[in-house]
Amino acid sequence: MDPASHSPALLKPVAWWQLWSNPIFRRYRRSELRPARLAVWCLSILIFTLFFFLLVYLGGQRAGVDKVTAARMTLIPTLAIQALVMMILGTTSTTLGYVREAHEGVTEYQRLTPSSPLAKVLGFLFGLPVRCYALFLLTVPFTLFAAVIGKIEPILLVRLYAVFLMSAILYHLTGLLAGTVVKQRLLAGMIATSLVITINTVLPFIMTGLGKGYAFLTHLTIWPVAMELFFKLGSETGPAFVEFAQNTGRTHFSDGVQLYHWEIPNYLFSLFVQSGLILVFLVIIHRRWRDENHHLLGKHFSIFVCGGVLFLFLGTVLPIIHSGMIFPTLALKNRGTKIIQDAGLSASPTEAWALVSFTGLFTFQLASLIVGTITPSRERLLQGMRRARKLGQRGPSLGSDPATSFWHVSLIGLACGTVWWFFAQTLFNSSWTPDHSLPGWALPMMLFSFMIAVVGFWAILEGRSKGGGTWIYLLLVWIVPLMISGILGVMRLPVAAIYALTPSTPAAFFSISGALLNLPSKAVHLHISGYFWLFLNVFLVLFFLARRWTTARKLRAQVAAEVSDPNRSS
Amino acid sequence: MVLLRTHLAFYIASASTADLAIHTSDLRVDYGDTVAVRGIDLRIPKGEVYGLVGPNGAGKTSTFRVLATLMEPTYGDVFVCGHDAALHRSRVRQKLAYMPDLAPLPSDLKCWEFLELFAGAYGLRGQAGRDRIDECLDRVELTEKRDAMCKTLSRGMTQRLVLAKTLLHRPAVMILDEPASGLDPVRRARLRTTVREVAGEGRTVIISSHILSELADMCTSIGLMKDGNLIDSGPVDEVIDRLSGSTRQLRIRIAGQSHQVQDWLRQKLGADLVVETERGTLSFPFEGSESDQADLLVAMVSSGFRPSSFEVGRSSIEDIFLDLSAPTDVQ
Repeated sequence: MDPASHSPALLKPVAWWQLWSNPIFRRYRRSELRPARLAVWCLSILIFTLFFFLLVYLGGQRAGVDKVTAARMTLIPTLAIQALVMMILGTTSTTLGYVREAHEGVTEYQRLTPSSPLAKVLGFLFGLPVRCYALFLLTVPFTLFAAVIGKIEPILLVRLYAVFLMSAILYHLTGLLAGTVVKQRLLAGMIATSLVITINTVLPFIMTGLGKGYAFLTHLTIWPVAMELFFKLGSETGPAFVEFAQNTGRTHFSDGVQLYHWEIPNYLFSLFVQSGLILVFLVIIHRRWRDENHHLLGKHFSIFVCGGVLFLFLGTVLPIIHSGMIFPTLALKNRGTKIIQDAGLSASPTEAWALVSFTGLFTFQLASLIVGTITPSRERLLQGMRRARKLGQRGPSLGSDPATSFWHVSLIGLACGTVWWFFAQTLFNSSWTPDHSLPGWALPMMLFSFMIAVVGFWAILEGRSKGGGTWIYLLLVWIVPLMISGILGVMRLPVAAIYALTPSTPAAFFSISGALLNLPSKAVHLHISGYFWLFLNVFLVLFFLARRWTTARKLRAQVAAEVSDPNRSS
Repeated sequence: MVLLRTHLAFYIASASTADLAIHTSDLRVDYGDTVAVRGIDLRIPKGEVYGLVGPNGAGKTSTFRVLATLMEPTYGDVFVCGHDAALHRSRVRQKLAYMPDLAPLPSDLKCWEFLELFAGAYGLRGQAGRDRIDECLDRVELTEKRDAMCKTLSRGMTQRLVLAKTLLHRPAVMILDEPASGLDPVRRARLRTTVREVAGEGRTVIISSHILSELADMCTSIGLMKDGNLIDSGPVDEVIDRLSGSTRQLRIRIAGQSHQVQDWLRQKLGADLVVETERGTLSFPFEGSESDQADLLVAMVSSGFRPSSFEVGRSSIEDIFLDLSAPTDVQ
């Protein structure tokens, strides 16, 4: 045999867009669509869909609803079954399937093939849940029946199903991500399923409770588009849908989304937010496919991610400050009206303080999540120092995984802190809190507090040594005070509860916000608690910075002893 | 300046590594404080069957994983058929195939489907892909298991199927980590033949195995690793000669008089000489040149002894492996 005639260079791997020829996709088409097992699934789904479809369609007509409305009503059970198949079943099979492959070690072979990482990710993304796509197709005739008999405008269904499929892909990607990051099969499955349930039900529920705030989180689901469709159909055909929508306070879903000054249709905004998150997930999985030891996000990219979330947060939250819908009490009072026009109403300052505090906590959580993602461990720092020394460089390049994340963390901290202040400033300058305003020194104070919290967290992470000391510290100093305070609160000891929170950084956003505002009740205790946290944490951060510096110095000395410097040796 | 130096180094390295299947320079792999591979320089010419030998924890698997582009080294360069693995990962992956230790198989695929997955991944599609799958199945003698589910295969069959997968895209370099584990003696012999055939086609095979006698039969050159260091590397005979030093084992069979010969040898070579006797054959260590050996034999005959056979025993890879595996004395 002549090796030259079979030169591997002549072989051309499948491009990422050739999904049908993608070998991973083909592999799952074979294994997941074996006739015997597929027949059982198809029959089960067909029977259940038919049962609920007939129940609603015939039952509705028997209850006196006309044919058109009854057909429209069948959309609800059909969509529910489709969501069950695509979201829950699809995500679970994606996660478990991927973790099984990783556990068996077969993914190692896949990593070695010359196809691009994107082609491999897409192969898994559409291949693992391929049976769910087949089952979904089986239910489509029911939707078409509802569309034809129910005289539903095709464009409405196209919008709904565009968002539906985008959501499904997002959830499958969530499953793939969980499978890529979490190595234990059961844990990965549980995490993925919990994420889907949280995104689909818990978040929209909380967001509804908070009025329209954090709208971009709600749009990670199909809820806004589905409710808009149902409301539109209902308002055309009868009072049942309108009553349902009003009872559940969902009339505002028909408004679209206010992003800064732009009014964006629900479906477009959903597609925009979901595709943004899909992009982030794809980048994460792509990085892990390139090297399983890579950080989930690159340092530079993490700044874009943080900026994107802050942009969406501010864009969706600022318009509802002016309408007053951001205050839960006002939103509840005014459910059913588009915008609260009555300028005579004012918001409770305690509620405003809580909103500012929660925003501080939200932005801190966002910053912490990114800091935890991009900050190198001791091992990575050591590896980077060795490599840099070998190459005669001063240190790893700024954007690489083993480089210190200090500069990126500082930038992220500044951005998040500024957004926190900007939100508070807009809230207290609005007409809803006429007797309160933010002092002029709030910006430096809020930025300083935020940076103390974020840089402190970074220094803890990057200066940590081997062992679990860091996590014990975070548990005892950050989390346990929250629990103690909760118990004291239940015992009706509010002052003790405030002081118990003092050492905890996540709780500091409440005391710092309280210290900036003249709240009528317990204000002095919040002042003391907030300033004491700041005083304490300045010293703690200095300590952690010194520890981080010492760690880096020790590592540099270790590397200098191990690796010769080519600049000196030449 | 640093950039220019890096580019220059790259072009010089590329030019000098074109004739080599594998070339690593100063390759280092760390896991935190643990150093798995300590700056090794490997030069494996094309067409070699190269055995990597060393005790557990020597750094063989880490080296293999870096060569296979499954992980990035802490530092150091890796060239596969002249392509820099850090810069042209996809090209390198087209050139090589890796068979890991305890190679796994997906439980939900048939044998031919498993091979089809990888044939497709390497761009072998349609009839050409199907023909190649059949060819590879035939080569590892698994044609009759073509439609069997992978999960029903025995350990040995699993190894053979993964070997078939490794052969699919006719790689220029094959990295086989313990390919013989789980194979019966007949299949091991067949594997040896397959490896030799593959090497005969101009491909390079890098192999690690604990069955060292077979490694010696298969390999044209070996590398010995211990504690992350490459202790020696080169053609098998040369490495063995270098590592076994000037001491060798002489085996002499004397017609009768074995006790007298032992006494004579101790007088000649030293009172503490250890002479082992087995069925009339004396075996003892001897240090010296070939001329010294001849002088000893002449002296023996002159002294009235009648040797019926004379043989120089050489150290084997196994002896060297055992020496490597022995714990190092700490002074």
